[in-house]
Amino acid sequence: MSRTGILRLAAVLATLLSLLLAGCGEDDPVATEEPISVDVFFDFTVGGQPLVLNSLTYDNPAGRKYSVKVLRFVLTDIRLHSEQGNNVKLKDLHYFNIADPSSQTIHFDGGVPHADWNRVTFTFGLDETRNVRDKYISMTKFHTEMAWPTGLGPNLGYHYMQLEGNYEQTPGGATAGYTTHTGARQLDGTNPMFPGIVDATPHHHHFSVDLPVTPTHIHEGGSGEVTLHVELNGWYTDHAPADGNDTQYDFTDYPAMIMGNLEAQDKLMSNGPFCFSASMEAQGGHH
Amino acid sequence: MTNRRLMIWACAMLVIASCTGGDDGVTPPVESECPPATPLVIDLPANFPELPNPKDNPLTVEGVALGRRLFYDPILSGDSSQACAQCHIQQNAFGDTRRFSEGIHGVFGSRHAPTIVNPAWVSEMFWDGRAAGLEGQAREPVPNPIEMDLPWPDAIARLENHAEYPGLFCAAFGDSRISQDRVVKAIAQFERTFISANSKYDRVRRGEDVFTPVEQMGYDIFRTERGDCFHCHDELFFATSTFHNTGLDSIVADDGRYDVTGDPADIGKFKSATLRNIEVSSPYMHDGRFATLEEVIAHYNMGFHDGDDVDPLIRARLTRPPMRPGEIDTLIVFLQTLTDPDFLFNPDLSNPFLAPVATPVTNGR
Repeated sequence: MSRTGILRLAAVLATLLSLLLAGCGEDDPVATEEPISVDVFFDFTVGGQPLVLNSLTYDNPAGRKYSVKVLRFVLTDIRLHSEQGNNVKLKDLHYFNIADPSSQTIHFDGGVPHADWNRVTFTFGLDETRNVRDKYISMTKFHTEMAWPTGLGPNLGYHYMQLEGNYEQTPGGATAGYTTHTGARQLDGTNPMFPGIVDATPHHHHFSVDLPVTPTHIHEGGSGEVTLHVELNGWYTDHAPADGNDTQYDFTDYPAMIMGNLEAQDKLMSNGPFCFSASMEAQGGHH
Repeated sequence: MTNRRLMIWACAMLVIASCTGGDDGVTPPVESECPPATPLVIDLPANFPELPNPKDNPLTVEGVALGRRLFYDPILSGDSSQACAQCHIQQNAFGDTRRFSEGIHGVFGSRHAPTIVNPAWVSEMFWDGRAAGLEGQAREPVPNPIEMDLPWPDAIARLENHAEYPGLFCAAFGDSRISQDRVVKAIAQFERTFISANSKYDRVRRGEDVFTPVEQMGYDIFRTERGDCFHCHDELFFATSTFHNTGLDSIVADDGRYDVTGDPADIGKFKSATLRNIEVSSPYMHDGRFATLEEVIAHYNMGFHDGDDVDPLIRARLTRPPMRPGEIDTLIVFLQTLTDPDFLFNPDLSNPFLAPVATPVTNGR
C-alpha cells in the first residue's frame, strides 16, 4: 500500500472511530448550567402544635376543641424564584393526601440557572384553566377523590381542599363532624340545596401564595430542600382584612355542607394565604 | 477484496454492531415455544380514561382468553367444585346474591363478595384494601381454606397435567411454563376487561340520551350535598379507593381497614363500593346486611350510629334536614340508570364452557 493510501485509510478509520464513539450517544442530557434536585416537604401545625391526626386537642380561634381526620388539597403551578429574576416550575399539579405517604414530598430534578433562590409561589387550588370537569381524569385517585360535584358547577373540576374532623359542640360535650371543603361555585337552578337559584358566573376561590425564603444557592449536583409550613388554624382565623370583614370561621357557624356557601368559601379564601410559610436549605454540590 | 476495503468493511461492521442495542455477546435470547401473544387494544368511550395496562402484564388476546377460562374453571378449587365465577356472577355485576359466600367445605365467609366492575382502575382490592391491584387480589381465594382451599403448588400441578392448559399458557406467555404468577396474571388480564361504560348514565353523559324528569331529580340529589353521595361515589367510577366508618354498628363488629394498617383510627372502615350496576348487586355493604337500596339510603339518611369514630362526611348529614321519602325514591330511580346490560350480558365476559346467554329486554336502560 502506498503512503497516500495509508493516509487515506487512516482518515477513513479515524472518521469511523469518531462515529463509533459519538454516534451511539442517544441519551446525552441537554447541557444545563446547573443540574440540581429540589425536594419540597410539608410541615403541619395547629395552633403551633405539631399535627397529630384524630386528636381532639386543638383549639380553634373561637376556643373550640377540634381534631383533624382528613386532609387533602391540591397545589398548582409550584415555582421557585430567584433574586436574579429566574424561576423554575417544580411541578404543575400536586395532590397532597395526608393518608398517602407518596404524596407528601414533591421531587424536582432538572437543570436550572445559577441563582439565589428566594421565593416559593403556588396556586392553592386550580385556576380557571385547570379547574375543568374531567381535565385530570387519567389521575384516577385525584380525580375520584377530589372531583367537584356537577350540582355546584356543571363544568367545574375539583375540590381544592378537604379538611375534616370532629369538634366539640360545647366545652367537654358531645362532638359533631366538620367538613371544610373548598372550591368554586356555580348554580344552574337544579341544586335542591339552592332551589331555583341561578348564579351562572363561577365564583373561583383559588388563591395565589407567594412565600419568601432566605436566599439559597444550590450548587451543581447539589439539592435544595423547601419546607412548606402549614398552620391549619389559619383557615379559621380572622386576619383583619382591609375591607373590615370578620373572617373568623367557627364550626358551629359552618359545620358542614359549606361547598356552595359563598360566605364560608369567601372567608376560607381570604384566610387561606395566611396559613403558609416556607423555609429553604441547600445540601451538597460542587462549589 | 483488497486489504484496504476489507479494513473499511470491518470497521463499518464494528460501528454498526456497536450501535445495535448492546447485546455485547451476551447469551442470545431463548427461543419461545410459542409465538408472541397478540396485544389486545380496547376502545373506551370518551367519558372514560385510558385503560391501565401494566407493563409487566399487558393485555393480550390469548392472556385474556386464558384468564377467562381460569375464572370459570373449578379446577382451581380443592375438590374441583368451585370456580371464581360461583361467587362472582356476571349478571350480578360479578357479585354474589348471597349475603356471605360458601366455600368448598360449606363454610361461609364473614364479608360479602364484592362486585367486580371496572377493576382496572382500582388500586386497593377487597373491602379492607389489603391487596394491591388485580394481580394481588387473585392470589388469595385459591389457597384460602374457607374459599377454594387449594395450595398453589397443587393448583400448578393440576394445570401442568391438564390436556389443554399448557398449550394455553404457551399461547399467552410464550412458553408453556405454568406458575402462580402466570395464573394470577391471566385472571387479572381477564378481569381488566370487566368494563361497564354503557349505562344510561354514560349515554346521557355522552349526549346520546336524556334523563327522564324523575331520573334528573334523583341525579340532582346525588350530585349535590342534598344526598351527598358524590363524595364517596364520584361520577366516573361511582367509587373511590377511600375507607370510611359509616356508623353501621354502635360497637364495631369487624375491624375492617384496621386489620391492614394497624391504625386505631381505621377501625370499622371499609372501602367505598362502586354504585355501577347497584340495582342488580344486592345485598349491600361489606357484610351484605341490607337487602334493598331503600335500606341502604335509610341508613345513610339518618339511620347510622353516630359517634366520634364515624366519618365526618356521614356525621355532616346531621346538619341538614333528612331526605324525604319522595327524594329517596327519585334517588333510587337515578341509581337504576347505572345499570349496564351491555356489561352484565357481555358475551366476551361470560362462561366459556357454556352457550352464550341471550341479552334480556330492558326498560330502555
